[in-house]
Amino acid sequence: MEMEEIQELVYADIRKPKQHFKSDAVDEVIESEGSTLVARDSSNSSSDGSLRNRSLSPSKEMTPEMTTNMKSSDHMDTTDISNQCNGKSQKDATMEKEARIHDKILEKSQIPYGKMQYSLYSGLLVVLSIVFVICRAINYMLNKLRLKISDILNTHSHSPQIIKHDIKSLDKKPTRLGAILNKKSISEINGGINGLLNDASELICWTVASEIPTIILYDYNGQLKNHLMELKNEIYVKLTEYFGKGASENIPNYSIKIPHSNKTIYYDESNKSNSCIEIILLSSIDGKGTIVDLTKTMSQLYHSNDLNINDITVDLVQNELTQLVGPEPDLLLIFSPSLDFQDFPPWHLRLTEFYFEQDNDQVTYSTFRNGLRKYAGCKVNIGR
Amino acid sequence: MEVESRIPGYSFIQEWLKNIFSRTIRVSDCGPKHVGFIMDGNRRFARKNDIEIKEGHEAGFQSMSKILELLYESGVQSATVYAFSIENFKRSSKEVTNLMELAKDRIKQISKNGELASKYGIKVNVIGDLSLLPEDVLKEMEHAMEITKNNKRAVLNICFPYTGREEIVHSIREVIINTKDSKEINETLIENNLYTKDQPPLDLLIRTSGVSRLSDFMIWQTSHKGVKIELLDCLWPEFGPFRMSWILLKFIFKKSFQIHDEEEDKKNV
Repeated sequence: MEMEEIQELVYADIRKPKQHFKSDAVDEVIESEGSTLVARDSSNSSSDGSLRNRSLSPSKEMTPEMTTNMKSSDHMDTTDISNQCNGKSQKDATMEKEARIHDKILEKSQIPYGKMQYSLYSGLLVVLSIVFVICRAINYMLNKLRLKISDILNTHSHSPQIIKHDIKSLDKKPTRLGAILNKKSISEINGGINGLLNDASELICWTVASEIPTIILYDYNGQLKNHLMELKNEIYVKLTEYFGKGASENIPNYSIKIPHSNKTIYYDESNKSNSCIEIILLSSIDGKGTIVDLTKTMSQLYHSNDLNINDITVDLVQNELTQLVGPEPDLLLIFSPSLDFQDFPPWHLRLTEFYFEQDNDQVTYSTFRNGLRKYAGCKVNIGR
Repeated sequence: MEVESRIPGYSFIQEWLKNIFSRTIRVSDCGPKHVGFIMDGNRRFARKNDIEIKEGHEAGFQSMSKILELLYESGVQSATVYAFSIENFKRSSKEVTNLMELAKDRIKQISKNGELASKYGIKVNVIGDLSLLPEDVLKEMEHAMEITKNNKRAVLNICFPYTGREEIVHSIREVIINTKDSKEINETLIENNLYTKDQPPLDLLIRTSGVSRLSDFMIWQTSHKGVKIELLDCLWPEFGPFRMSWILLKFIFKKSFQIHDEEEDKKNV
């Protein structure tokens, strides 16, 4: 944004509180005006940038009036500053002070920032930021190195026997495994929709080899659901790589379920009972959206007197959501650099153990294996 | 504890550092607004250091006060702590009684004149299925909420006794009773009927003791895209302001990069 524009906006902001100053809601006006300013500021630039803007502008281009307003934008105590730098609004300031008198302790603990202090803290923030960036960079490199080494140590060479052997030594394994997958940008290695399909199919092969009967695959935008047929074929190709070395009848049958459209497909429709793995595809609409839909249905039942309000219990919602979305995963693997549930169905996160590796954005066998290992090592005891 | 008492002026220096740091965080204007805590490990801390469980809880409480002070100074408007789960009623009745007594003392301690609540202008908000509480405990909780209700600067939510699923069901019920037309029901409406309504959305969740489960804590709020979750290996009483400071710095960084990324995305679209 150009400087003039900002100035205009700031002027507009100043006028408004002035008119309302005599009202009781002084605090609220200032607060809300302030927050719009902050929002504008921070959406325009990263923290460093916005800092520079703010610490420079009062001294050079802004009038004292504006300085007052800029300060108030940081939710700081305006009283003292406005007293210092704005003679005209002194009367207003005293009124404001009266309005705040009941919060005297509050006032004491808030910091009346002078210009000097403000730049001092900004400077300190820059120093801290630099220290942080250096530490984080080292941390990032170490993490990447660790991931690389772990990747080399955990090879499966597309052999279900090796995977089975790895998993067999664990004391317990999940019966329902969940995974949050991300579509990477097409320019990256293993990116785009093909990368996502590839990741999903690999993961399914490891799950089959580990003899885990259910896998829940979640991607925020529902890309996997949209490419159902491609996914079905890709899984078959991958399963052939892993299991089909002897003969094609060794390839396990599998089912793919989309709870949202209540659809289930089998690879081998004639042999449904012989399915080795159930694949459930979820996306963000299966989370809060489904809870909203359920509430709507129950609301209709309630208003037609078919449902008592006391019958709406945790157990009822649990039953309904299990039917609508599926079971709660025991272990959720998150294949993204930081821990973020990305609107995964909240109801299904209750006791789920989650696992992710810092700075890892690849779907690798080592992450899969480490996740299962961690799961085996931890006790789950509800409430005790 | 011992180290602190040996070095003269330790607490003074700590206080000074804390003030400087929290002001710096505020200047950045990117700090978290609502932080949730699962305070795990008080009992394990007691066992590890060979002290009584009661003292372990005491250490945990001290640690909580320090962290909250730092957070409120840094501009956090809302903090939520998981004090007691509805599932905890399954523990032995003796332990439940002990925990109830402890909670009564603590809530008095927090809301007492001159303590945490009045010092920082904190409104204490006990959330959860309060109907499950014994009468005397409930009275104490209501009293604390009553005397702090005019504090406006920040909120402390104490989950007691609480589960995230109960919260969602509670909200669903409220929505159904208060909405005539089912077409009006949407995500925002359910969100506005959760116990944490009228507060900024949760943006940081911290769990200690190396456990990676939500244990039914704020499941709706935490599942939101973009909420940062920090899992720490240390026990709760070992978690001090220094580690918290590091987490705050990390948060600020991620957030300012996130804003940057979103802008890039918009440009690309």
